Amino acid sequence: MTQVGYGQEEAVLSDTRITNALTLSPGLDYISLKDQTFSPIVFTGFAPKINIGFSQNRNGHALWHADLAISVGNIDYENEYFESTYVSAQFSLNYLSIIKSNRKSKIYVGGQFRSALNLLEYESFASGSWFTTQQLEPIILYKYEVSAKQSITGNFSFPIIGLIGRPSYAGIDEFVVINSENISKILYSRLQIQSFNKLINPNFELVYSYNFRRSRFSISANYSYLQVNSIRKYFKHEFGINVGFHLKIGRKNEE
Amino acid sequence: MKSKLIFLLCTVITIQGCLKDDIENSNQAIFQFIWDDMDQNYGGFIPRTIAWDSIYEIYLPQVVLSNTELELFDICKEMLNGLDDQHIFLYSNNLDEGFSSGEEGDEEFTDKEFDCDVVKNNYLENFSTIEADDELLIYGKILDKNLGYIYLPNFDFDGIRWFEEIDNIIMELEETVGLIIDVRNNGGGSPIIDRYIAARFVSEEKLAFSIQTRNGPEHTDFDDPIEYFASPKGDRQYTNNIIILANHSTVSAAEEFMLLLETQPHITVVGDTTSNAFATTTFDRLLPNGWEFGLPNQLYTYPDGSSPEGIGIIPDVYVKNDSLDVQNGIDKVLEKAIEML
Repeated sequence: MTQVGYGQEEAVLSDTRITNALTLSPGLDYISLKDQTFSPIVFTGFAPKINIGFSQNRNGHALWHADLAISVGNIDYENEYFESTYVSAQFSLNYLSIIKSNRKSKIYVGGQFRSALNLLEYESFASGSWFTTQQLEPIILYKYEVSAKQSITGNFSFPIIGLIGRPSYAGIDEFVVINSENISKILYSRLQIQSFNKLINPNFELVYSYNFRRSRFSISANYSYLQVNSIRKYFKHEFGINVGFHLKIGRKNEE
Repeated sequence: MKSKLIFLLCTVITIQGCLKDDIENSNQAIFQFIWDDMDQNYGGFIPRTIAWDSIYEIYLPQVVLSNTELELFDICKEMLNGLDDQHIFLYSNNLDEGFSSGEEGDEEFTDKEFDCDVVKNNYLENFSTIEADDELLIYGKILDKNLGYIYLPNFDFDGIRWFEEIDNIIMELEETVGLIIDVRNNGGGSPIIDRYIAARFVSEEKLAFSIQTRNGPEHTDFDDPIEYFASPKGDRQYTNNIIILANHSTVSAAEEFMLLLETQPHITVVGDTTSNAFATTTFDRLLPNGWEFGLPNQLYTYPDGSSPEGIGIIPDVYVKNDSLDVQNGIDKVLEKAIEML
């Protein structure tokens, strides 16, 4: 999840001020997933997550944010037998520009690039599946200033187009066998452009932030739904909670 | 605000609970999934001349009358065993019981027909071993003969690239006038490994076979064939006369190994017909009743368009041990190979 939370302090800086921040944000995801290539049953479980991010606030009018999130855990079926390894990695880069503001709130809109990889593996790839995507999505962010130090931010994004990678009809075919020692080729070859009806991936995030002079603390909750209508469909609900520590760096006045 | 957050959380949890299994945990639903999955993905219906619709008509009434997991398991076992393809498998975690299609019959005979200790103790004058996954690759010289012997127990890969030792083995045996490669009871493994090793025994490039993978719901839906050539690779190749020993428990990647090498003029196959399970792309389906089910989705064909599926690789010279031979320390198959070389 993107962790697009921006603190109060940045917003009140002078018109020429740029504030950068580094973010470290550990968290926990709850995943509910059905990948028809993998199995006809639903797997659920918790996966620890770590986010590393960089953000730039350009005097409260424009926001940049880059984020890398990695999550690894075991998800299982309701019986005691099927425990699978779940790996998720995601990089996102977004730019937001202010469109409306008043004393207490601001609304930003912008665009986001998101690159994601989801891997499922059962017993040394006795069974496995994957989903990769490079997608472009509009993003809207609403920020409400509770007090001089506290704010609540909500954002929503959904892809309009994506380049996705999924297993072929067969799940594993000769292409996979030939390239079994080159995993990236398996994951990032044979990509397909998909849009609204084939790639459904709304993302919501709610962030509470508390600002200190040189840092910021945040608690965020996010929810995303992913549905990929490829030959074998992929469904995933993901609900996550993160605690974020943001260190403000390189504050400067732009000429 | 607090009530809105609670409402949002409840909504999220409710939405997550909406995701349901595609199949119910009932005997009929499980049977239907297995039958459908085979119907839409199995690659060997045509060469094995299986009328899959008729199979459904036979077994569905039995499933409808079944009440227990064991009854369903037995019905599915009988249905899948009819295909005699070891890449089709079923395992019940609850019953702690599983099988590969057609394997029971193979093991029953071949375990008694081959014993690696007989070879080591009675036919080799000195030998070395290399750990290959959980088994031992054995190589050395035949007693009182200038003949080499290599036993390849599997083509499995556990992270250690044991198969790359084949170049050193060939170097050690290159002074021999002939070589016996033993793939009896070789249960297969990775095609990467069998292709790597086979390339060290090839003298001339030849088209060996083609592979197609199912890409649609019809039994004839396959992607374009990928051709595989037996081609010499590596620093050195062993090109003196070679005899490959095989039996009915030579399976999967071991059969692919033989498909590559039987194209070569200096190589002869001695022993019994192989198992006939060629496809290398089996993977587990996990079912709601705790079963794991797997099937192969490929079709192997010879350059003339015919398929070894359902047949196996027929040896050039047919020889079999019986259990009494093995108990008495005799390996007639190996003796035949020594005689021929």
